[in-house]
Formats: sequence, structure tokens, C-alpha cells
Amino acid sequence: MNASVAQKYAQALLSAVTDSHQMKAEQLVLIAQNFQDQPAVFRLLEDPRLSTQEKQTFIAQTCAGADNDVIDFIQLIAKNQRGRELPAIAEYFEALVLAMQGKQKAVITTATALDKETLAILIAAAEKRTMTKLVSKHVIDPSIIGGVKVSVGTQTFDDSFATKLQKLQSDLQKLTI
Amino acid sequence: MDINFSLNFDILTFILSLASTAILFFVLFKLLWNPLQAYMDRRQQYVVDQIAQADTQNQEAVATNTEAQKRLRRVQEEATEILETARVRADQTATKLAEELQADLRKRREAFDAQLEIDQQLAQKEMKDQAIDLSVSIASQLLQEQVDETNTKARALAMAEKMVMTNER
Repeated sequence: MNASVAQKYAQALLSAVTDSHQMKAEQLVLIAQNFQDQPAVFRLLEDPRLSTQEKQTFIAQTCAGADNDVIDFIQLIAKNQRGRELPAIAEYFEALVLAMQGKQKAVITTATALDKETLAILIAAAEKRTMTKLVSKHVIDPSIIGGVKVSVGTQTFDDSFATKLQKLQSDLQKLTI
Repeated sequence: MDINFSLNFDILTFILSLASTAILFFVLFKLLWNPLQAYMDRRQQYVVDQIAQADTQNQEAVATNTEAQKRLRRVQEEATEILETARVRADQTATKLAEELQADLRKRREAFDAQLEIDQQLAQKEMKDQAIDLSVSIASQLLQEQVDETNTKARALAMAEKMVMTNER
């Protein structure tokens, strides 16, 4: 992922969009997630045998129901051969929209499900800790084994078992027999 | 014959013959003696000179022989000295080569020991890493089996509390 390119596209979209930023950001993130879940879509967008027009039509049909600005933007990205950057661009765009509202995105990762009350407590604590209004997103990722991981912007509060085990493994490897 | 001789003998003739012979000897003596004497003296002197020259040459030959003997002895001494020097140098070279060989062997043994040490350390590290990987893998599986929603909730609440506490400090 090229962070610089993704940031530039996200900023360009932000300056082009005049209304409904939040809704457009959510749609863009959702579409990007769907594309990411189906890598064949990226391969299709990069296929040189398909004309630009065919790709545009495919995007319009795939993203039917989404805001026109969002569809136009995805078509532009595909035209510029930056389809694979879409998830990163969407993430940056969402962060920029939230920043406009004085908010930040917090990603809470756990290995199992977590009830809403606990999530609310955790978000409140994170808001107090970062002194920022947060918009949370809960991700269940069994690879962290257990515990909780909270990511807010560049800050990460990591209490996951996977990280603890990695640290333990690293410390043990440093030990001299 | 005897009759003829006795008949022809004349004392005067005899005397005249003696006189003429004496005169002849006298003349010959006067004319030839001195040159002959001088010639004989020269000849004697020549022989003496030749003998002297032969003596001188003999002495020179003896001296040359002595000198040659001396040179031969010197050459023999030099040859002996050269051989001795060569033997000493050969001994020194042999000693030096032996020392170099010893040093090389020592160096090789040190390098071998060092490599052995490195290999042992690598083997130990590999074994340690494998043991750690296995331990972490087992720990990971055990934890995965024990983790449930209750546990996650407890960890989340503990983390929230920790965040607030840290902020208040």
C-alpha cells in the first residue's frame, strides 16, 4: 500500500465532496471492504483485456445504490490503475471526515464477541485517555488469541495475548543459555 | 815398406817438420787460443746463467707451487666454510619451516575451534528457538481454548480501568 498516494486521493475526494461526508465515507469504506473480500474484483479492474468503459460499467453496476460521488471516485481510481489502493484511500478518507467533525476512529479488536455495554465503557475510557471524541469499530479477530487491542489513529493500546506471546518469545530468544 | 822408410828418413826433414809443426801450433795458439778461450768463457757463463736461471725458475716454481697449495688450502677452507654456512642456513630454514608449519597448524586448530564454537552456538540457538516456538505454540493453543466472551469482557474492563487510571495520574 502506498500511503502517500492514498492520502492524496483521500484529500482530493474530501475537497471535491460538498455534502454528506459521513455517509459517503461509510459507503466508500463498505465498498472497499467488499472489494477486499473478493480479490477477483481488483484483478478484473486491472485486466488489460477489458476496456475502460467496460470497467466503468462494472463499477457502476457493482456499486449500484451508492452515492454518485462515490461511484465516480471509484471509477476514477480504476481508470488510474489504483484499484488496489481503494481500502487505504477509504480509510484515510474516513479519518479525514471524522477529523472534520473533531472525531477519530477507534478500532477495537477482540478474539471473541463483546457486549455493547463493555464496548461503550472501553470507548469512554479511550476517549478520556486520548481526549478525543471517538467513533468505534469493533473487529473480531481470532488471531489475537485473547485480550483486547484498541487503535486510535497512530496510538495503539495493546493487551492482546498474541502480542504478549510475541514479546515473551522475543524476550526468551534474547536470553543466553 | 820398412826398407823404404828406413831409406827415406831424413833428420833435417824431420826437424823441419817438427819446427813447422811447432810454428803452426804457435801461430794457431796466437790466433785461435784467445777467441777459443773467450768462446769457452762465454759458453761457461751461458751455462752458469742457464743454471742460475733454472734455479730461479725452480725457486719460482716452488714458490708458485707453495702459493697454489696455499690457495688450494684457502679454497678448501672456503668450501668448508660455505658448506658449513649452507648447513647452518639449511638448519635455520628447516627450523623456520617447522615453526611456520606449527604456527599454521595452531592457526588452523584455532579457526576450527572457533568455527566449532560458532556451530555449537548456532545449534544451541536453533534448539532454543525451536523450544521457544513450540512452547509459544502450545501456550497459544491453551490460551485459545480458555478464552471466551467472559474472559474477553474481563480483559476489556481491566483495560478500560487501566486507561482511565493512567490518564488520571
